[in-house]
Amino acid sequence: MKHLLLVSSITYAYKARHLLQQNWIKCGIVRTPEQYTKQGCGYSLVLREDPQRTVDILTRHGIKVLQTVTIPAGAEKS
Amino acid sequence: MIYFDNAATSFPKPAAVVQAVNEAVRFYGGNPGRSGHQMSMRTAEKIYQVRQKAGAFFDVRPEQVIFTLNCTHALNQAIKGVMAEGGHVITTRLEHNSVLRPLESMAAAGRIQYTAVPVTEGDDDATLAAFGEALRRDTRAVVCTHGSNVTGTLLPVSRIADFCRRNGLIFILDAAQTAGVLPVRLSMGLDIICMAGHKSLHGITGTGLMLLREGLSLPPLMEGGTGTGSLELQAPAEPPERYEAGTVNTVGIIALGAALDDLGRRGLDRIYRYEMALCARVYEELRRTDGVQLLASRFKLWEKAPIVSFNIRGLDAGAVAARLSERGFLLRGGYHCAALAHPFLGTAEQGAVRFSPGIFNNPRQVTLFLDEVKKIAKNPAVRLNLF
Repeated sequence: MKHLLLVSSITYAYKARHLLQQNWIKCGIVRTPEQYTKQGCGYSLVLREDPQRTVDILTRHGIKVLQTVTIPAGAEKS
Repeated sequence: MIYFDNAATSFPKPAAVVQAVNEAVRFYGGNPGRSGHQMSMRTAEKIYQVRQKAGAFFDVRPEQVIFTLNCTHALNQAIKGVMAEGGHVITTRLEHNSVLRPLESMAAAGRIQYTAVPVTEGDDDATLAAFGEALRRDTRAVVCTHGSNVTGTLLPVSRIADFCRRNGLIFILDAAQTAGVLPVRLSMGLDIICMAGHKSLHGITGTGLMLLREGLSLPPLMEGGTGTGSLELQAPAEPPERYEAGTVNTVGIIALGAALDDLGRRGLDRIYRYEMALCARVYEELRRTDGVQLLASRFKLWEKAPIVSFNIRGLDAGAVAARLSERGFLLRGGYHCAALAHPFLGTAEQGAVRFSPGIFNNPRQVTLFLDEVKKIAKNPAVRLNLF
């Protein structure tokens, strides 16, 4: 199961990834799939870790998570 | 060819910067923050790394680093953003036109008023008194240079910051001549710092930085695509993308990252003392040379950026610079885009010749330069029909 955490810009995506790495949380950065973006075009963190814990860490450091999307296993694209 | 015009732009660039340009063009050709493919993402990550480096160098968070096209772009964003609602601004008579022209155009349109105060060399009390006399009820901001691009005179930034804090003013600093030579930090009591990437930071032309205090939001100068929120008609609310509409100068930014690494290895203090030593020698020898007039009445460490401006009596500064250029010495002669400085300094008719060395100049080059200036002063070949 993967989780997408939508953030507001590419800058905040990389800031978030750097912060999460320091917290031993591995994540990638992807272009947000269009079906999940309300505003059109965006970037998301993709991770397998507990999303709530991740959101808490990011929020504590001033990084807004716009939306969290869980992609069930089997529905993940390779 | 001996280059002494680093106040205009630095030359040559460190080898690491040249290499970074090559690598940027070859390997980082994507548009950062626009697509999801490897090239775009690789370039975006590289840009973020430079943002982190700049943040570490200037002691701000990466998102407080705004990449601009040059210092003028940064100053226009800062001034027009801060003064969007009108009011009064205090500035000085030593400013570059990148400060004065935005102020003047806004004033001419009836949107703001501004006062340009005198700066008294060697007397910070007098300079601060001038700021105080200019203060009005509707004063909203101070925008001033850290170091004059004509005389090198450093303004008392910490005291001006104190003045701003006591009076609730936003402080915008033009660090075009000091970033990369002297420490500049928002923690000095500043709200916005604007700088060129291509002068003493040793990046390439087409780059600048604006450092923005956290919590300060300005209307963006330029609006357009930012790569996210494409269905929104409004600019993003958050920095840095709010102020970086359009494709950024990826090659320039990546090169700036290499430049910051290089500066970190060299050390600002060492750079400043080295360049000031070259300037001090020029100042002292020209002071003793008949026919040469120096614009500054004194030249002391920590009072000046590494700039010495002078004239040869009776000669147009542009003509002197042209003569020096013929002999292989590259300096700027004229008015230095400083509309008020030369009338203020009494050089409105001649302008001035500006010596501004860099880290790659050496004492032997200075000796050759001084010999040439002395020759011109002794036997002027070009005369301006002033008299």
